[in-house]
Amino acid sequence: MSRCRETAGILFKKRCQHPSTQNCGSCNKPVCRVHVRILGDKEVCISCARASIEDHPSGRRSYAHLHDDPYFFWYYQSEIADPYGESDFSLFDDAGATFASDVADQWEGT
Amino acid sequence: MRSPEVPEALGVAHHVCPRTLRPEVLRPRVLAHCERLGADTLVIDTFPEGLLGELSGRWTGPRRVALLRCRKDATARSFRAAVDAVEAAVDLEPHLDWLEARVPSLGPITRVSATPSEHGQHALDVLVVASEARLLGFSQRLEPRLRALGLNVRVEDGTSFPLDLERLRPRVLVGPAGFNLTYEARALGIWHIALPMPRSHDDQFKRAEAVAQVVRSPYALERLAAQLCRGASAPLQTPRHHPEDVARFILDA
Ligand SMILES: [Zn+2]
Ligand SMILES: [Zn+2]
Repeated sequence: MSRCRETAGILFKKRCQHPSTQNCGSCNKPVCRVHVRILGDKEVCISCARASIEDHPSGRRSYAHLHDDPYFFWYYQSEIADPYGESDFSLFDDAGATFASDVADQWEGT
Repeated sequence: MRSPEVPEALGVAHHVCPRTLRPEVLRPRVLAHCERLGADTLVIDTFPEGLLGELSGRWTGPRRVALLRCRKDATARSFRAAVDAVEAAVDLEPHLDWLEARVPSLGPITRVSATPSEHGQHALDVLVVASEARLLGFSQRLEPRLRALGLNVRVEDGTSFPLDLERLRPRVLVGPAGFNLTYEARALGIWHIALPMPRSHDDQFKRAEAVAQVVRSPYALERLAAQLCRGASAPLQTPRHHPEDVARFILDA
């Protein structure tokens, strides 16, 4: 049996020393029992679960079972539920060449 | 050429010109200033063709030295022609690999003079620079989240620019990836989580990718900010120059 390939820790990345028990239902990497979470009808690794929550923040309520999970502390630690809106997420959009060029340059200050 | 409320900076007079001015009107004014000052060199920031195109075409003034920063239109024929036309040019962002013309690499210029080792404890964990409207709402939602993680947070809303990063000395800076902010943070050993802003010429996305930390969601930002605050490391320094060194370089060049 191969080793678990999950590197996501609670705070820091680290190599997992456990043998794998299954493969992630999303990225297919070998993972151990500690690093598997149920997401919808799949069993996925911590990284894939986190990515899914980040990509679909509006669906977070359906991940309520992760609420007290230390691996998902970051996603639920605040009393302010779902604080960010669409405009906040748009700040993180990758901007290609077509990105808004109607904004005047402000070289000074920042 | 910036806001009229700054008539003087660094002891040098500023001449403010409206963006609507025609280049053929501005050009003789620039030449007249050069003449009056007896200038033998005209140093141009970023726009070798002049901010309004006033320096393009046949030039009769003093030799021109262009300090080039990354521009989105780097491959455009007009920009390349403008770089070729000036007597000398240097690249302030050679690490971004953006410029096709072969000009000497200089590296970024920053106002800060202190080196990271001169700094003791960080006074602040996270400084959020919300220098424009788009960032204000986000920073208001981010601030309590970071505080709940036990981080010492401060939001600057753009009313106190330029920022005195040396004095505020945060461990982590969250903000746009403009030239000054990015390289000042780097020079001071401050982690910079970039929120690159769209600009017509300045490529903040390219700079952010190369020099700062890039995340893809508010949650990833929170996580990274906390990790960087708890870790002991500081970012690697980008070699950079103090304005005085650059002035000497130009005079000696
Ligand atoms: Zn996975
Ligand atoms: Zn594991």
